[in-house]
Amino acid sequence: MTLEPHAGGGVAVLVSSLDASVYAADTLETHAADVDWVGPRAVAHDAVLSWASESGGVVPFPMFTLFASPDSLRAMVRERAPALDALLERVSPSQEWTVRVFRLDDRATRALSLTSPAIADLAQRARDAAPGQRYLLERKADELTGAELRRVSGEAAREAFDALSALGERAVRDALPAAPAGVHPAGTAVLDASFLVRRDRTDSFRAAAGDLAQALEPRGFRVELSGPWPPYHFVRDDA
Amino acid sequence: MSDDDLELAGDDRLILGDLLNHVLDKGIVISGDITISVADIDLIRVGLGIYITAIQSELDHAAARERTSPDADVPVLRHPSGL
Repeated sequence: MTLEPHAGGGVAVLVSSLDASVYAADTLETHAADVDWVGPRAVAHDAVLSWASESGGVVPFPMFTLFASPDSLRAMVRERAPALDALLERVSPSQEWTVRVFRLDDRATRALSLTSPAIADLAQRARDAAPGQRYLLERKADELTGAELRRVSGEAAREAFDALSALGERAVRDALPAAPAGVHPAGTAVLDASFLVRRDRTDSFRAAAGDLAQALEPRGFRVELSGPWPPYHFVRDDA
Repeated sequence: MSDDDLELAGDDRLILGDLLNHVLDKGIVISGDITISVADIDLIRVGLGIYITAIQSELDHAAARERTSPDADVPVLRHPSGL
């Protein structure tokens, strides 16, 4: 790992030399599904960026950002130095924190049965009904529960995002993975959001995430916090 | 460290899903003399998709266990020593 200063500017580039034969596109393709190959390289990439982030500020490039020669790297930096300077100034006072909110389906359903009169009423009628009628009422209760679960999930996600956005400089929501069918005790993701948080607000942000976890837990949601990360989500023009 | 020496420590495996979601396709987009295409990154994502899900699920269980503690402080999954 070397530091390439950019002549005449405040920007330097952290760069490693690689064996071109190992990182050629067709070779990389053969490793694409091999977590034992990609994983350690991802960890190493992040370790360098985390060090730089903790030591001051950094503009992360995605993993596998490769240049054919030192000259082409220098040309890129020369061309983009003003933009990189501006970005560094913007992100350096902050770090990134990622918050995910999961709905624990069994707990959220239990919580709903306590707070939704309509669901409680249907469940009671199903218990009192004859077998044929009971089946229909139970189906209806399940449908209503599904709709209510989606509604309270949207509310929980919005509540979490709004509360934490207020403490960050910027915030972004990532698309959620498609939820597999069925009930998942480990949780269904309802929010995946990243926040650019000033370093001097780290404690308040973490405390707010803790408060949120406490507020959402009785409603059947779990909050997961990870960080601090280098500002991966906040160095694009649209973020 | 040479390229061949890269290996994952046990703790790194736990955070790998989260980490890959940060390093694979986030960060500044630059055009120019890059030899890895967006399609290749997509390929890695697809190739690792199952693994990421599996790790996430493992993580969920670990965190779910932590959550049974009456202290509802939110667990931080990365760099706890630095805070």
